[in-house]
Amino acid sequence: MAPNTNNELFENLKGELRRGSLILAVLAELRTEKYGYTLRKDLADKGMEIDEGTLYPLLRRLESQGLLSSQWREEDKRNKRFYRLSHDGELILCQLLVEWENIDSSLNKILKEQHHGTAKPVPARS
Amino acid sequence: MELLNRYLHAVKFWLPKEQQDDIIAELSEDLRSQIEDRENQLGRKLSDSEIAGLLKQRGRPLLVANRYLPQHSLIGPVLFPIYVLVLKIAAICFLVPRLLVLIGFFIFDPKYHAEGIGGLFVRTWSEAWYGIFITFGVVTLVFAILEQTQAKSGWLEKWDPLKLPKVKDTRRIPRASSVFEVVIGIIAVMWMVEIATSGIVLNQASIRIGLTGTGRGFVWIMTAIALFGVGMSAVNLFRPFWTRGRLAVRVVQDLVSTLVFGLMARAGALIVLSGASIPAAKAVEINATVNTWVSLFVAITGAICAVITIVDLVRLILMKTNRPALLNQVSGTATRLSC
Repeated sequence: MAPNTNNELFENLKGELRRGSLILAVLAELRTEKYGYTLRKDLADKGMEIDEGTLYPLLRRLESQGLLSSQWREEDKRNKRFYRLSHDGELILCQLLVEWENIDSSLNKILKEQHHGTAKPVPARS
Repeated sequence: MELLNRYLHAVKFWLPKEQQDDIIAELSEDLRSQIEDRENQLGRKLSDSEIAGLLKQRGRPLLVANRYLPQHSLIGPVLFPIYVLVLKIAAICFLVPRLLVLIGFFIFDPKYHAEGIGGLFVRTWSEAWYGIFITFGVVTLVFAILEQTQAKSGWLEKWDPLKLPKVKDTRRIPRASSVFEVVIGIIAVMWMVEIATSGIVLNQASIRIGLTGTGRGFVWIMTAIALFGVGMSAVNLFRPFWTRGRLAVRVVQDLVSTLVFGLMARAGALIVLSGASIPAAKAVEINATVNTWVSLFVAITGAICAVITIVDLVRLILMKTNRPALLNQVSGTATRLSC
Protein backbone atom coordinates (compact mmCIF):
# COMPACT_ATOMS: atom_id res chain seq x y z
CA MET A 1 0.00 0.00 0.00
CA ALA A 2 1.37 3.46 -0.91
CA PRO A 3 2.30 5.69 2.07
CA ASN A 4 -0.26 8.34 1.05
CA THR A 5 -3.06 5.78 0.86
CA ASN A 6 -1.93 4.39 4.18
CA ASN A 7 -2.02 7.83 5.80
CA GLU A 8 -5.41 8.57 4.31
CA LEU A 9 -6.74 5.24 5.52
CA PHE A 10 -5.35 5.87 8.99
CA GLU A 11 -6.92 9.34 9.11
CA ASN A 12 -10.29 7.90 8.04
CA LEU A 13 -10.16 5.17 10.64
CA LYS A 14 -9.01 7.62 13.30
CA GLY A 15 -11.95 9.86 12.40
CA GLU A 16 -14.35 6.95 12.79
CA LEU A 17 -12.79 5.98 16.10
CA ARG A 18 -12.99 9.53 17.45
CA ARG A 19 -16.52 10.27 16.26
CA GLY A 20 -18.31 8.47 19.08
CA SER A 21 -15.89 9.61 21.76
CA LEU A 22 -16.29 13.25 20.71
CA ILE A 23 -19.92 13.21 21.81
CA LEU A 24 -18.86 11.80 25.15
CA ALA A 25 -16.14 14.44 25.52
CA VAL A 26 -18.52 17.30 24.63
CA LEU A 27 -21.20 16.10 27.04
CA ALA A 28 -18.67 15.60 29.82
CA GLU A 29 -17.09 19.01 29.24
CA LEU A 30 -20.48 20.71 29.37
CA ARG A 31 -21.13 19.61 32.92
CA THR A 32 -20.00 23.18 33.48
CA GLU A 33 -21.51 25.92 31.33
CA LYS A 34 -19.44 27.08 28.36
CA TYR A 35 -19.87 28.83 25.07
CA GLY A 36 -18.71 27.32 21.80
CA TYR A 37 -15.34 28.96 21.44
CA THR A 38 -14.12 28.21 24.98
CA LEU A 39 -15.51 24.69 24.78
CA ARG A 40 -13.45 24.05 21.65
CA LYS A 41 -10.34 25.52 23.27
CA ASP A 42 -10.80 23.51 26.46
CA LEU A 43 -11.27 20.30 24.50
CA ALA A 44 -8.16 21.08 22.43
CA ASP A 45 -6.15 21.80 25.60
CA LYS A 46 -7.12 18.35 26.87
CA GLY A 47 -6.00 16.71 23.62
CA MET A 48 -9.42 16.40 22.01
CA GLU A 49 -9.12 18.62 18.92
CA ILE A 50 -12.44 19.28 17.20
CA ASP A 51 -13.00 21.62 14.30
CA GLU A 52 -15.71 24.25 14.37
CA GLY A 53 -17.53 22.70 11.43
CA THR A 54 -18.05 19.58 13.51
CA LEU A 55 -18.57 21.13 16.93
CA TYR A 56 -21.35 23.63 16.24
CA PRO A 57 -23.64 21.30 14.27
CA LEU A 58 -23.00 18.66 16.97
CA LEU A 59 -24.02 21.11 19.70
CA ARG A 60 -27.21 21.96 17.83
CA ARG A 61 -28.01 18.28 17.34
CA LEU A 62 -27.42 17.44 21.00
CA GLU A 63 -29.59 20.39 21.98
CA SER A 64 -32.39 19.31 19.65
CA GLN A 65 -32.15 15.85 21.26
CA GLY A 66 -32.68 17.46 24.65
CA LEU A 67 -29.23 16.58 26.01
CA LEU A 68 -28.02 20.18 26.17
CA SER A 69 -29.68 23.46 26.97
CA SER A 70 -28.44 26.79 25.71
CA GLN A 71 -28.86 30.45 26.52
CA TRP A 72 -27.79 33.64 24.76
CA ARG A 73 -26.10 35.96 27.23
CA GLU A 74 -23.91 39.03 27.09
CA GLU A 75 -20.30 38.62 28.17
CA ASP A 76 -17.48 41.09 27.52
CA LYS A 77 -19.97 43.30 25.65
CA ARG A 78 -20.71 40.48 23.20
CA ASN A 79 -23.63 38.15 22.87
CA LYS A 80 -22.57 34.56 23.36
CA ARG A 81 -24.47 31.33 23.39
CA PHE A 82 -23.75 29.29 26.51
CA TYR A 83 -24.36 25.56 26.59
CA ARG A 84 -24.70 23.19 29.51
CA LEU A 85 -25.72 19.63 30.10
CA SER A 86 -29.48 19.22 30.68
CA HIS A 87 -30.99 16.82 33.21
CA ASP A 88 -31.60 14.23 30.45
CA GLY A 89 -28.07 14.85 29.22
CA GLU A 90 -26.68 13.99 32.67
CA LEU A 91 -28.56 10.68 32.71
CA ILE A 92 -27.42 9.81 29.19
CA LEU A 93 -23.85 10.82 30.01
CA CYS A 94 -23.85 8.43 33.00
CA GLN A 95 -25.10 5.59 30.81
CA LEU A 96 -22.59 6.40 28.09
CA LEU A 97 -19.73 6.48 30.60
CA VAL A 98 -20.68 3.00 31.83
CA GLU A 99 -20.76 1.85 28.21
CA TRP A 100 -17.43 3.52 27.54
CA GLU A 101 -15.86 1.70 30.50
CA ASN A 102 -17.29 -1.60 29.24
CA ILE A 103 -15.82 -1.01 25.81
CA ASP A 104 -12.52 0.04 27.33
CA SER A 105 -12.30 -3.05 29.54
CA SER A 106 -13.35 -5.38 26.67
CA LEU A 107 -10.78 -3.86 24.38
CA ASN A 108 -8.13 -4.17 27.08
CA LYS A 109 -8.97 -7.85 27.52
CA ILE A 110 -8.76 -8.43 23.76
CA LEU A 111 -5.46 -6.57 23.51
CA LYS A 112 -4.00 -8.48 26.47
CA GLU A 113 -5.07 -11.81 24.97
CA GLN A 114 -3.40 -10.80 21.73
CA HIS A 115 -0.32 -9.80 23.66
CA HIS A 116 -0.06 -13.17 25.39
CA GLY A 117 -1.17 -15.21 22.39
CA THR A 118 1.09 -13.76 19.69
CA ALA A 119 4.66 -12.64 19.34
CA LYS A 120 3.67 -9.09 18.40
CA PRO A 121 3.81 -6.70 21.36
CA VAL A 122 0.94 -4.30 21.97
CA PRO A 123 2.04 -0.70 22.44
CA ALA A 124 1.54 0.59 25.95
CA ARG A 125 -1.52 2.82 26.37
CA SER A 126 -0.92 6.24 27.84
CA MET B 1 -14.48 43.21 9.50
CA GLU B 2 -16.17 43.82 6.15
CA LEU B 3 -14.66 40.59 4.89
CA LEU B 4 -16.11 38.73 7.85
CA ASN B 5 -19.57 40.14 7.16
CA ARG B 6 -19.33 39.12 3.53
CA TYR B 7 -18.37 35.61 4.62
CA LEU B 8 -21.26 35.38 7.09
CA HIS B 9 -23.66 36.68 4.46
CA ALA B 10 -22.49 34.00 2.03
CA VAL B 11 -22.96 31.25 4.62
CA LYS B 12 -26.40 32.62 5.55
CA PHE B 13 -27.58 32.29 1.95
CA TRP B 14 -27.40 28.46 2.16
CA LEU B 15 -28.99 28.06 5.58
CA PRO B 16 -32.67 27.26 6.22
CA LYS B 17 -34.58 30.49 6.90
CA GLU B 18 -35.81 29.55 10.38
CA GLN B 19 -32.25 28.88 11.62
CA GLN B 20 -30.31 31.52 9.68
CA ASP B 21 -30.05 34.22 12.33
CA ASP B 22 -29.28 31.86 15.18
CA ILE B 23 -26.53 29.99 13.35
CA ILE B 24 -24.99 33.14 11.91
CA ALA B 25 -24.95 34.84 15.34
CA GLU B 26 -23.09 31.88 16.81
CA LEU B 27 -20.71 31.53 13.86
CA SER B 28 -20.03 35.26 13.95
CA GLU B 29 -19.25 35.10 17.66
CA ASP B 30 -16.89 32.16 17.17
CA LEU B 31 -15.03 33.86 14.32
CA ARG B 32 -14.78 37.15 16.22
CA SER B 33 -13.41 35.30 19.26
CA GLN B 34 -10.84 33.56 17.08
CA ILE B 35 -9.79 36.86 15.46
CA GLU B 36 -9.62 38.56 18.84
CA ASP B 37 -7.44 35.77 20.25
CA ARG B 38 -5.07 36.02 17.31
CA GLU B 39 -4.91 39.80 17.63
CA ASN B 40 -4.07 39.50 21.34
CA GLN B 41 -1.28 37.05 20.51
CA LEU B 42 0.19 39.37 17.85
CA GLY B 43 -0.54 42.60 19.73
CA ARG B 44 -2.03 44.26 16.66
CA LYS B 45 -5.08 44.21 14.40
CA LEU B 46 -5.24 41.46 11.79
CA SER B 47 -4.91 42.51 8.16
CA ASP B 48 -7.53 41.61 5.57
CA SER B 49 -5.27 38.92 4.11
CA GLU B 50 -4.83 37.35 7.56
CA ILE B 51 -8.59 37.37 8.11
CA ALA B 52 -8.99 35.89 4.64
CA GLY B 53 -6.58 33.12 5.70
CA LEU B 54 -8.69 32.35 8.77
CA LEU B 55 -11.87 32.27 6.69
CA LYS B 56 -10.26 30.04 4.09
CA GLN B 57 -9.27 27.67 6.86
CA ARG B 58 -12.88 27.68 8.09
CA GLY B 59 -14.10 26.49 4.69
CA ARG B 60 -16.17 27.49 1.69
CA PRO B 61 -19.49 29.05 2.78
CA LEU B 62 -21.55 26.35 1.07
CA LEU B 63 -19.63 23.59 2.87
CA VAL B 64 -19.86 25.35 6.23
CA ALA B 65 -23.62 25.78 5.81
CA ASN B 66 -23.97 22.23 4.56
CA ARG B 67 -22.85 20.84 7.92
CA TYR B 68 -25.89 22.39 9.56
CA LEU B 69 -28.29 20.93 7.01
CA PRO B 70 -29.95 17.52 7.23
CA GLN B 71 -28.28 15.00 4.91
CA HIS B 72 -30.34 14.19 1.81
CA SER B 73 -29.58 11.85 -1.05
CA LEU B 74 -31.59 11.01 -4.14
CA ILE B 75 -30.52 7.38 -3.91
CA GLY B 76 -29.02 6.34 -0.59
CA PRO B 77 -26.16 3.93 0.11
CA VAL B 78 -28.54 1.01 0.72
CA LEU B 79 -30.16 1.12 -2.71
CA PHE B 80 -27.15 2.43 -4.64
CA PRO B 81 -25.55 -0.98 -5.44
CA ILE B 82 -28.92 -2.26 -6.75
CA TYR B 83 -29.34 0.95 -8.75
CA VAL B 84 -25.94 0.49 -10.41
CA LEU B 85 -26.73 -3.17 -11.17
CA VAL B 86 -30.07 -2.25 -12.79
CA LEU B 87 -28.37 0.49 -14.84
CA LYS B 88 -25.83 -2.05 -16.11
CA ILE B 89 -28.57 -4.54 -17.03
CA ALA B 90 -30.58 -1.76 -18.73
CA ALA B 91 -27.47 -0.69 -20.66
CA ILE B 92 -26.85 -4.26 -21.85
CA CYS B 93 -30.51 -4.79 -22.81
CA PHE B 94 -30.52 -1.49 -24.67
CA LEU B 95 -27.13 -1.66 -26.39
CA VAL B 96 -26.62 -5.35 -27.25
CA PRO B 97 -29.64 -5.69 -29.61
CA ARG B 98 -28.59 -2.47 -31.36
CA LEU B 99 -25.05 -3.75 -31.67
CA LEU B 100 -26.27 -7.05 -33.15
CA VAL B 101 -28.42 -5.26 -35.71
CA LEU B 102 -25.49 -2.96 -36.51
CA ILE B 103 -23.12 -5.89 -37.09
CA GLY B 104 -25.78 -7.66 -39.16
CA PHE B 105 -26.32 -4.62 -41.37
CA PHE B 106 -22.61 -4.02 -41.72
CA ILE B 107 -21.94 -7.57 -42.88
CA PHE B 108 -25.00 -7.81 -45.05
CA ASP B 109 -25.72 -4.44 -46.62
CA PRO B 110 -23.01 -3.07 -48.97
CA LYS B 111 -24.28 0.52 -48.63
CA TYR B 112 -23.08 0.50 -44.99
CA HIS B 113 -19.56 -0.52 -46.09
CA ALA B 114 -18.91 2.93 -47.56
CA GLU B 115 -19.78 4.56 -44.26
CA GLY B 116 -17.21 2.41 -42.44
CA ILE B 117 -17.65 0.71 -39.07
CA GLY B 118 -16.54 3.90 -37.26
CA GLY B 119 -19.11 6.06 -39.02
CA LEU B 120 -21.76 3.46 -38.38
CA PHE B 121 -20.95 3.46 -34.66
CA VAL B 122 -21.13 7.26 -34.53
CA ARG B 123 -24.50 7.22 -36.32
CA THR B 124 -25.87 4.51 -34.01
CA TRP B 125 -24.74 6.45 -30.95
CA SER B 126 -26.26 9.69 -32.18
CA GLU B 127 -29.55 7.84 -32.70
CA ALA B 128 -29.29 5.94 -29.41
CA TRP B 129 -28.43 8.74 -26.97
CA TYR B 130 -32.05 9.82 -26.57
CA GLY B 131 -33.06 6.29 -25.60
CA ILE B 132 -30.08 5.99 -23.25
CA PHE B 133 -30.98 9.31 -21.64
CA ILE B 134 -34.62 8.27 -21.16
CA THR B 135 -33.63 4.82 -19.79
CA PHE B 136 -31.16 6.38 -17.35
CA GLY B 137 -33.77 8.95 -16.28
CA VAL B 138 -36.55 6.41 -15.76
CA VAL B 139 -34.32 4.04 -13.75
CA THR B 140 -33.09 6.95 -11.60
CA LEU B 141 -36.64 8.20 -11.04
CA VAL B 142 -37.88 4.73 -10.03
CA PHE B 143 -35.00 4.34 -7.57
CA ALA B 144 -35.54 7.83 -6.15
CA ILE B 145 -39.18 6.85 -5.45
CA LEU B 146 -38.03 3.52 -3.99
CA GLU B 147 -35.59 5.39 -1.77
CA GLN B 148 -38.40 7.50 -0.37
CA THR B 149 -40.75 4.56 0.14
CA GLN B 150 -37.98 2.36 1.59
CA ALA B 151 -37.11 5.08 4.11
CA LYS B 152 -40.76 5.19 5.23
CA SER B 153 -41.82 1.54 4.94
CA GLY B 154 -38.46 -0.19 5.54
CA TRP B 155 -39.38 -2.89 2.98
CA LEU B 156 -35.73 -3.82 2.54
CA GLU B 157 -35.60 -5.02 6.13
CA LYS B 158 -38.49 -7.42 5.50
CA TRP B 159 -36.90 -10.54 4.01
CA ASP B 160 -36.78 -14.28 4.52
CA PRO B 161 -33.44 -16.14 4.51
CA LEU B 162 -35.29 -19.31 3.40
CA LYS B 163 -36.15 -17.60 0.13
CA LEU B 164 -32.53 -16.90 -0.83
CA PRO B 165 -31.66 -18.31 -4.29
CA LYS B 166 -29.61 -21.51 -4.46
CA VAL B 167 -25.90 -21.13 -5.16
CA LYS B 168 -25.12 -22.08 -8.75
CA ASP B 169 -21.85 -23.67 -9.73
CA THR B 170 -20.88 -21.96 -12.97
CA ARG B 171 -18.73 -24.94 -13.99
CA ARG B 172 -21.60 -27.39 -13.87
CA ILE B 173 -23.30 -28.22 -17.17
CA PRO B 174 -26.99 -29.02 -16.66
CA ARG B 175 -27.72 -32.54 -17.96
CA ALA B 176 -31.06 -31.36 -19.35
CA SER B 177 -29.34 -28.86 -21.64
CA SER B 178 -26.82 -31.51 -22.80
CA VAL B 179 -29.66 -33.93 -23.61
CA PHE B 180 -31.50 -31.16 -25.45
CA GLU B 181 -28.37 -30.24 -27.44
CA VAL B 182 -27.73 -33.89 -28.40
CA VAL B 183 -31.32 -34.47 -29.54
CA ILE B 184 -31.63 -31.20 -31.47
CA GLY B 185 -28.12 -31.66 -32.87
CA ILE B 186 -28.87 -35.16 -34.21
CA ILE B 187 -32.12 -33.97 -35.81
CA ALA B 188 -30.29 -30.98 -37.37
CA VAL B 189 -27.43 -33.15 -38.65
CA MET B 190 -29.87 -35.64 -40.21
CA TRP B 191 -31.79 -32.84 -41.89
CA MET B 192 -28.66 -31.10 -43.15
CA VAL B 193 -27.19 -34.36 -44.55
CA GLU B 194 -30.49 -34.94 -46.33
CA ILE B 195 -30.67 -31.47 -47.92
CA ALA B 196 -26.93 -31.38 -48.71
CA THR B 197 -27.02 -34.71 -50.55
CA SER B 198 -30.29 -34.07 -52.37
CA GLY B 199 -29.79 -30.32 -52.81
CA ILE B 200 -33.51 -29.84 -52.09
CA VAL B 201 -34.88 -28.04 -49.05
CA LEU B 202 -38.56 -28.16 -50.00
CA ASN B 203 -40.26 -29.92 -52.85
CA GLN B 204 -43.97 -29.17 -53.19
CA ALA B 205 -46.17 -29.39 -56.23
CA SER B 206 -46.33 -25.62 -56.65
CA ILE B 207 -42.89 -24.62 -55.36
CA ARG B 208 -39.43 -26.10 -55.05
CA ILE B 209 -36.66 -24.69 -52.89
CA GLY B 210 -33.23 -25.99 -53.73
CA LEU B 211 -29.66 -25.20 -52.73
CA THR B 212 -27.11 -23.60 -55.04
CA GLY B 213 -23.70 -25.21 -55.31
CA THR B 214 -22.31 -22.69 -52.80
CA GLY B 215 -25.29 -23.32 -50.49
CA ARG B 216 -24.66 -27.10 -50.54
CA GLY B 217 -20.99 -26.56 -49.70
CA PHE B 218 -21.87 -24.41 -46.71
CA VAL B 219 -24.50 -26.90 -45.51
CA TRP B 220 -21.82 -29.64 -45.53
CA ILE B 221 -19.54 -27.41 -43.44
CA MET B 222 -22.39 -26.62 -41.03
CA THR B 223 -23.16 -30.36 -40.83
CA ALA B 224 -19.57 -31.03 -39.76
CA ILE B 225 -19.75 -28.30 -37.12
CA ALA B 226 -23.12 -29.58 -35.86
CA LEU B 227 -21.79 -33.14 -35.72
CA PHE B 228 -18.82 -31.96 -33.71
CA GLY B 229 -21.25 -30.07 -31.41
CA VAL B 230 -23.27 -33.27 -30.87
CA GLY B 231 -20.07 -35.06 -29.88
CA MET B 232 -19.20 -32.27 -27.44
CA SER B 233 -22.68 -32.33 -25.91
CA ALA B 234 -22.46 -36.12 -25.55
CA VAL B 235 -19.18 -35.73 -23.63
CA ASN B 236 -20.78 -33.01 -21.49
CA LEU B 237 -23.65 -35.36 -20.73
CA PHE B 238 -21.35 -37.85 -19.05
CA ARG B 239 -18.85 -35.36 -17.66
CA PRO B 240 -21.09 -32.47 -16.66
CA PHE B 241 -18.39 -29.98 -15.60
CA TRP B 242 -16.64 -27.46 -17.76
CA THR B 243 -12.91 -27.96 -17.97
CA ARG B 244 -10.48 -25.51 -19.51
CA GLY B 245 -9.80 -27.84 -22.43
CA ARG B 246 -13.45 -28.41 -23.27
CA LEU B 247 -14.27 -24.73 -22.93
CA ALA B 248 -11.35 -23.85 -25.22
CA VAL B 249 -12.65 -26.33 -27.83
CA ARG B 250 -16.09 -24.76 -27.44
CA VAL B 251 -14.62 -21.30 -28.09
CA VAL B 252 -12.91 -22.57 -31.25
CA GLN B 253 -16.18 -24.15 -32.37
CA ASP B 254 -18.03 -20.85 -31.75
CA LEU B 255 -15.36 -18.96 -33.65
CA VAL B 256 -15.48 -21.30 -36.65
CA SER B 257 -19.30 -21.07 -36.69
CA THR B 258 -19.08 -17.25 -36.62
CA LEU B 259 -16.62 -17.23 -39.53
CA VAL B 260 -18.72 -19.67 -41.56
CA PHE B 261 -21.87 -17.59 -41.00
CA GLY B 262 -19.92 -14.47 -41.98
CA LEU B 263 -18.72 -16.10 -45.20
CA MET B 264 -22.22 -17.41 -45.93
CA ALA B 265 -23.69 -13.92 -45.52
CA ARG B 266 -21.29 -12.57 -48.14
CA ALA B 267 -21.40 -15.59 -50.48
CA GLY B 268 -24.34 -14.41 -52.59
CA ALA B 269 -27.15 -16.76 -53.66
CA LEU B 270 -27.50 -19.81 -51.40
CA ILE B 271 -30.93 -21.09 -52.48
CA VAL B 272 -32.91 -21.35 -55.68
CA LEU B 273 -36.67 -21.03 -55.85
CA SER B 274 -38.62 -22.48 -58.74
CA GLY B 275 -42.17 -23.47 -59.49
CA ALA B 276 -44.39 -24.26 -62.40
CA SER B 277 -46.59 -21.25 -61.72
CA ILE B 278 -43.69 -18.78 -61.39
CA PRO B 279 -42.77 -17.07 -64.66
CA ALA B 280 -39.04 -17.14 -65.49
CA ALA B 281 -38.67 -13.33 -65.35
CA LYS B 282 -40.43 -13.14 -62.00
CA ALA B 283 -38.36 -16.06 -60.62
CA VAL B 284 -35.11 -14.05 -60.93
CA GLU B 285 -36.62 -11.19 -58.93
CA ILE B 286 -38.07 -13.52 -56.27
CA ASN B 287 -34.76 -15.42 -55.97
CA ALA B 288 -32.84 -12.16 -55.48
CA THR B 289 -35.25 -11.01 -52.75
CA VAL B 290 -35.34 -14.36 -50.95
CA ASN B 291 -31.53 -14.67 -51.03
CA THR B 292 -31.24 -11.14 -49.66
CA TRP B 293 -33.41 -12.13 -46.70
CA VAL B 294 -31.51 -15.41 -46.24
CA SER B 295 -28.22 -13.46 -46.16
CA LEU B 296 -29.67 -11.06 -43.58
CA PHE B 297 -30.84 -13.97 -41.43
CA VAL B 298 -27.43 -15.65 -41.73
CA ALA B 299 -25.66 -12.37 -40.84
CA ILE B 300 -27.76 -11.91 -37.71
CA THR B 301 -27.12 -15.55 -36.73
CA GLY B 302 -23.41 -14.91 -37.24
CA ALA B 303 -23.60 -11.84 -35.00
CA ILE B 304 -25.31 -13.91 -32.29
CA CYS B 305 -22.55 -16.52 -32.68
CA ALA B 306 -19.96 -13.76 -32.27
CA VAL B 307 -21.55 -12.68 -28.99
CA ILE B 308 -21.64 -16.31 -27.78
CA THR B 309 -17.95 -16.63 -28.73
CA ILE B 310 -17.09 -13.54 -26.67
CA VAL B 311 -19.10 -14.82 -23.68
CA ASP B 312 -17.40 -18.24 -23.83
CA LEU B 313 -14.00 -16.59 -24.25
CA VAL B 314 -14.59 -14.47 -21.14
CA ARG B 315 -15.62 -17.61 -19.24
CA LEU B 316 -12.45 -19.32 -20.43
CA ILE B 317 -10.27 -16.40 -19.33
CA LEU B 318 -11.96 -16.28 -15.94
CA MET B 319 -11.46 -20.02 -15.58
CA LYS B 320 -7.78 -19.62 -16.45
CA THR B 321 -7.28 -17.22 -13.58
CA ASN B 322 -8.13 -20.19 -11.36
CA ARG B 323 -10.89 -18.35 -9.59
CA PRO B 324 -12.62 -20.91 -7.42
CA ALA B 325 -16.32 -21.26 -8.10
CA LEU B 326 -18.57 -19.60 -5.54
CA LEU B 327 -19.91 -22.99 -4.56
CA ASN B 328 -16.39 -24.16 -3.79
CA GLN B 329 -15.74 -21.02 -1.76
CA VAL B 330 -18.90 -21.51 0.25
CA SER B 331 -18.28 -25.21 0.83
CA GLY B 332 -14.67 -24.40 1.70
CA THR B 333 -15.83 -21.88 4.27
CA ALA B 334 -18.28 -24.39 5.67
CA THR B 335 -15.50 -26.96 5.96
CA ARG B 336 -13.27 -24.50 7.74
CA LEU B 337 -16.06 -23.54 10.10
CA SER B 338 -16.76 -27.16 10.95
CA CYS B 339 -13.07 -27.80 11.81
